Amino acid sequence: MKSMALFSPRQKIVLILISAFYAISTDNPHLMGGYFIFMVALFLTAGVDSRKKRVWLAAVVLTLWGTIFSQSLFYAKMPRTILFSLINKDTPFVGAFTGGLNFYKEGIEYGFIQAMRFGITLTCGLLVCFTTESKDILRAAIRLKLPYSLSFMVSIGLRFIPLIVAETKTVVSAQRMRGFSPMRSGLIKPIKTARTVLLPILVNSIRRSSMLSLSVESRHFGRKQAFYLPREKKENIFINTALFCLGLLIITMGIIKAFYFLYLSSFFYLPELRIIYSLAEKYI
Amino acid sequence: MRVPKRRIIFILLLFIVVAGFTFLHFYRVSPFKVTESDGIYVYSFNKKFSLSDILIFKTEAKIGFLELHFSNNRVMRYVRSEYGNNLSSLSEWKDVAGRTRVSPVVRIQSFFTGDGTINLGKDYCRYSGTINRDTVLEKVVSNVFFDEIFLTNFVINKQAGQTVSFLEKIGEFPLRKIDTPATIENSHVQIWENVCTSKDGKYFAVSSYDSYVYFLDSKDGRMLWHYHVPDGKLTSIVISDNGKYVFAGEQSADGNFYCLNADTGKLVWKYSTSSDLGSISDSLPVSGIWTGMVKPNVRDVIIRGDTVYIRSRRTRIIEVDGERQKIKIGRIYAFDYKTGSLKWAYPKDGKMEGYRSSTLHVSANGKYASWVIFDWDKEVNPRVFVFDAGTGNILWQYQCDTVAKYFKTSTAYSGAIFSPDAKFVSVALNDGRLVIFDNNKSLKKGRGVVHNIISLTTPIEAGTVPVMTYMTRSVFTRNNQLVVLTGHTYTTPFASTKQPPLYHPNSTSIFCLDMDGELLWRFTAGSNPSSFDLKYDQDNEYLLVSFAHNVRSQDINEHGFYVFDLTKKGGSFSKIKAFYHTDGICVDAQLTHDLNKVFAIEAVIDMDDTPRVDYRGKHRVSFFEIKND
Amino acid sequence: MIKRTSIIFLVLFLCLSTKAFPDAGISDDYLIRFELPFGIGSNQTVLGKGSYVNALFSVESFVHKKEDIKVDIILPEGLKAIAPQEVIADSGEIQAEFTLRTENDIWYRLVQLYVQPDTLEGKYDISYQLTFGGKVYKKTVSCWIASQDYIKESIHLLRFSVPADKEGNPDLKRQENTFVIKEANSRLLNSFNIKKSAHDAELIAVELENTGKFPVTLSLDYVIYDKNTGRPIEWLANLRDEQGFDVPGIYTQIFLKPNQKDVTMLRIASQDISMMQGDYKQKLSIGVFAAEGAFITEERPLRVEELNTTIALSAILSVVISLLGIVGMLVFRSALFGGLTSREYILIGLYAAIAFSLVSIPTTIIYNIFHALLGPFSFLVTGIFSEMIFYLLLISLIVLLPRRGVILCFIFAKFLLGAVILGKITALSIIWYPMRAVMLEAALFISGLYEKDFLPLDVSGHRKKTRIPKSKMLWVAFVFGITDAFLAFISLNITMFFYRLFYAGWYIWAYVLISGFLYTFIVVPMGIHLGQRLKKVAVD
Repeated sequence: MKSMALFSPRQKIVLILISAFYAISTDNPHLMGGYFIFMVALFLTAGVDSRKKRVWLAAVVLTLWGTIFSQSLFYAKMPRTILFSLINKDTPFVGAFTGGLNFYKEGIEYGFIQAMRFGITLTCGLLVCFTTESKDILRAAIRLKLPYSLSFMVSIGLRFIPLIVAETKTVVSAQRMRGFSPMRSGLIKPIKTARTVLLPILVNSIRRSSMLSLSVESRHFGRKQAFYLPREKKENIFINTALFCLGLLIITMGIIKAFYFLYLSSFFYLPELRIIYSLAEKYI
Repeated sequence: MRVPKRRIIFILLLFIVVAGFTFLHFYRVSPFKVTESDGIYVYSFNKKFSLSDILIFKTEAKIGFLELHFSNNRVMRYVRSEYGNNLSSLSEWKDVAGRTRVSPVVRIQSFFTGDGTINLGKDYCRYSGTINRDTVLEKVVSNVFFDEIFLTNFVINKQAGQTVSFLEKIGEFPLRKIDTPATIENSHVQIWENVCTSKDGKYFAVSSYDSYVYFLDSKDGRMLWHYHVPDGKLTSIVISDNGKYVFAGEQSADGNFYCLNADTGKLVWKYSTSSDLGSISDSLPVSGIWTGMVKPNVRDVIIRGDTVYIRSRRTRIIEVDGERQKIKIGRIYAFDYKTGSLKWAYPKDGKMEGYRSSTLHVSANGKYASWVIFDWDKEVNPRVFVFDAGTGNILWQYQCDTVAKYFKTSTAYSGAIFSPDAKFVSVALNDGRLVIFDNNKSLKKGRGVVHNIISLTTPIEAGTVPVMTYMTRSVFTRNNQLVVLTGHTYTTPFASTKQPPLYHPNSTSIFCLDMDGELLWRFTAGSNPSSFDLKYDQDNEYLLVSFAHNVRSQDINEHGFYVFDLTKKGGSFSKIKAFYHTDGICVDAQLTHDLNKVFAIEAVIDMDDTPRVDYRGKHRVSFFEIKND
Repeated sequence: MIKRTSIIFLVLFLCLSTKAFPDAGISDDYLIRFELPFGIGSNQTVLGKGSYVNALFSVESFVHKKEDIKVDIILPEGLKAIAPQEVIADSGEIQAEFTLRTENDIWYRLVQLYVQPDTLEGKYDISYQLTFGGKVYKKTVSCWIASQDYIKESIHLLRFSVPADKEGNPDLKRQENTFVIKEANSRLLNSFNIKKSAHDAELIAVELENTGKFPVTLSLDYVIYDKNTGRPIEWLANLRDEQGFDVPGIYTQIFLKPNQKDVTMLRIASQDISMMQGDYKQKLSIGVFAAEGAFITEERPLRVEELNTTIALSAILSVVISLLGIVGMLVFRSALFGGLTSREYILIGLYAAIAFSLVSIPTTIIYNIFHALLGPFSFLVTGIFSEMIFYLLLISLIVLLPRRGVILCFIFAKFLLGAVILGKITALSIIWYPMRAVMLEAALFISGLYEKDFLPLDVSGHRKKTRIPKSKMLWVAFVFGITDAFLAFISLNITMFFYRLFYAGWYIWAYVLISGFLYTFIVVPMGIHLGQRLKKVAVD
């Protein structure tokens, strides 16, 4: 059974939101790691084809590595052990300006832990993306009271993205035939070329908009704003409950963290909340 | 009948006021114990008191004396003149260091017969010192038994006995608040304000850290004018002998030296020493209370005849190989006091860079000027220079050495002082030695000729830690006796700890020596002397020494000033006339030329050496009358 | 031998019986004193067996009279005088002759004493005799002798509170064994103007008890170590020398009488901007003052937290502005969106699609690759898409539709496309996008692109073929550049806040200047030109 088949599109959106806030609310590596593994398990049991799995894997690995890379350079906590230096702090000018650029061992560990936050949101996002049609997501968003005008614009965008991508490919091919090579042209030339590429696409879009507006207005668009939404199947109550509990957990963790932060920075302290401070310090 | 609300409130208020007055009238504190021994009665109170407190006593006997003993070891004695000869003029007590100390009893001539009243609070402030939260009346001692004796706070009909004492506070003038008060953990005085009196005694001037020069009437302390120097601290002041000009030096980015018209307070001329010494722009920044050190500071303003002399100095902070280093800079100047034209300066061109410099001195006859330079970073021992005060030419110089066991180099911050007849020149080195030169012989030979070297404060080794004390100031009396003031106890530069294990026996003391080094008299004080003044007329010679805080004992009761009458025969116990306690540190005190008045500047100090603050004292000038009984 | 060696370096103190302290000493005229190092004041600390100690003997005069005086000091069994030789009659007796002249005149000598190791613990008498003017006076003073082992057993560390409040109690409002320091930026700004303030320092309180019979002076040393290397850290500064320069190390002394408890405070401060948050070790050592070796050590972990106010404030600001933006959008939706025609909605939708296709997708692909290759410096490449092409589109859209609400629609539509197609919904984007929309709307307003005469028309209402003044172009570019720089700063800060990431200060400024300001500044005039060209098409 595919795991994500249990989720309705609306539930999937809620899952993304919960994952997004979960990723930032905890500092406990075990809690983060546990949720990441849960996401990975969901992904692997979602019935996604191997090509998409490879895309996911590449994205996760690259993201993890990128975060580890940056944090190992900029790690600013003690203790820290220099593995090797990129720029020595005694180097004239650059060394003094930057204070030295070194790879820190503790930064690698730290980067790995923090990268799990990105891993969670990336995995969840790709999971929903690969297992749901865009229009279903849009419908779910509308059901979640997304404003009509935004929904309309998004649906237009959804509809014409393939066309725009095809047009772009055509124009870029045409530019390449004229000798344009973005990698060897510096900064300003690609931008100017981008402008040249954009111009026909944008012109087409403007013309398209005129045509489409005539079309929709002739269908009484603008008088009464309503979307026709097909009936959705009944949502799994177990999933709903689980999501609700998870959401509540996130909110609670957020509140506890806020109080703990205020306590740590001496802004606000209440003796009655000491159990919460202890909880935050040990588990969250 | 309903009574209006307003009427009820009025009646209530009236009742509270009447009850309050009645309570105060009947409020009285009696002694908790009375003892008698050999006809002397002791009434124990142990009570804090305020300015408005009054002591009332009732007896039918003739009161020979009535002493008030306070917790800060001060004693005020109201005495009949014929009775007082039998009583000691000093009170004895032990200080925080365990040393036995003496303090002059405040002697007030009084004629009490039968019932009497003493304005305890007011009299304490007039004769003894500042009432602070720690001052307690411990006991009253008298030769008579009182039928009734109590403290009270409010008396409708009060009597006052006739009172005459040596020193009486007659007024004060408040100064403005200083941003950075002195702190107890810093051993320096930190607030280098000055007061100066005019020769005719009619006026006095104050140079204050609150950026003002004040010129006041010495009769009532009324301010006649003030002069503001923005963003500057005034550190020295002198009134010309003819009373027409006031000279003031400041510490500021410009390092100005001002000549002001004494009548109007307007600027006559000024000189900016930063043009010679540089200023903050050529130095790395320094933090906190030391930001002033990079600015030029004009000190030691001296007038002799038509010439005014000053010294200006500053510190430049540079970084060498990642380490901060201090470069000391200084210069001395001589100006025509009316026009401000520069007569001479030393160094002639530029500035003395890389050396610390001492106080500038000019002999009383105006012929010679002296300056001492040294530097411990460069291991340069003090080099004494004596100049022709008229031309700035070097007449003689001398290179001192040091006691190598404890010091790499010695210092001589107080400089080289001249005896009144300019026959001797004395230099106090921090290694504990006084070097006395024969000036006449030195002038003949063109180099310093040592008359005598006296070891006064040589370090002593307590275990592995040598302790020392500095000779902070010295002055010659009119009889060519040398008065030397010593400060705190420190550990020597090579010591393993900065906390001295012992007090140096010669610390916080006043010595008087003859030129052969023989001790004539000595007085043990309890704090770091901030300044002194020695003046004499035909009949009298007074020495006034003001004291700042004691960084070791942190005893607030040591702040204030002492007055000694040097004409009295005997030792210091006979010479000491008065001590006035100030809650804050006493940064300067001066006598008028007629020896009738004393002006003392008090500054606020933070007595708490933790991040908490405990400010004590007020920033003010107090003035006193000297009464000779 | 071991026992002797273990106490041989002890510098110890002599205890005097308070009774021996005279109200006037031997006579009213002369006073004898015994002082030992660190027995200042009450002179009451204990002498250790097998130790050498310098005792200061002094005789002070209280009369103004030149008097020749002889003093004889008899030491008890077990106490021997070693030096200086000129005052030692034999090892158990000290003699001196001197002259005192006036009040407060003092004769003094430091005599090195040795306490024999086999001396029994207890109280001993030192007797002395003063001879002057034919008179002889005799008196005794007491001293206590004890071993260091005894002292060790008598001293107890009751409490070591980190951090402590001003009263010396553990600061319950703070987390234990945690210091809080200001963030590096404010330390840099404040390093030139450090004032004495309780908030600049942390306090430590140490409570000790002396349950022994003898008073003792103790020294307390406190050090913070690097957890890995074990070296004391450099930025710790508590002491200042006379010139106000920092002297490393924190120590203090505490004097305890028998059966006394006392609390002493240590103040931990630093003025060095190189101090860092993290995990350290802290160690408190207590020993007898001036003696080597500590007999009580207490070691604990220490956490130093940095109060990142800039990052926290950025996050709060972003949340507040975003919330205001969303609320404003809902409340004023008719004013914002009511004026848009269906053609304009469609155009914005198409623009959002173009932005998604040409900005979001390439950025996502390239970001991952270049982030892996260049690490944090990938913004130099990805900025071309996420900043330059994005603003090219945005500005051209504004030129086409110069009115309020267009940017809001465009940005939200683009965000929703990313959310719907790629599932890109993160907490950061939820907080970030509304704020971006609000700030860009404000920038639009300030830049004046709303103004009707920005693109001038001729009398008939048609577009003039005139060039827009360079100053106007530069102004718009500058406004958007500054706004984007601000947004870049906020976005990096909230990334650091929510994802707990570290970036160096210089990196942040490079990111803000290049990706934030420079790219935007370059591309805005191009966007205006593009928009003008498109307007032709739109009109035609």
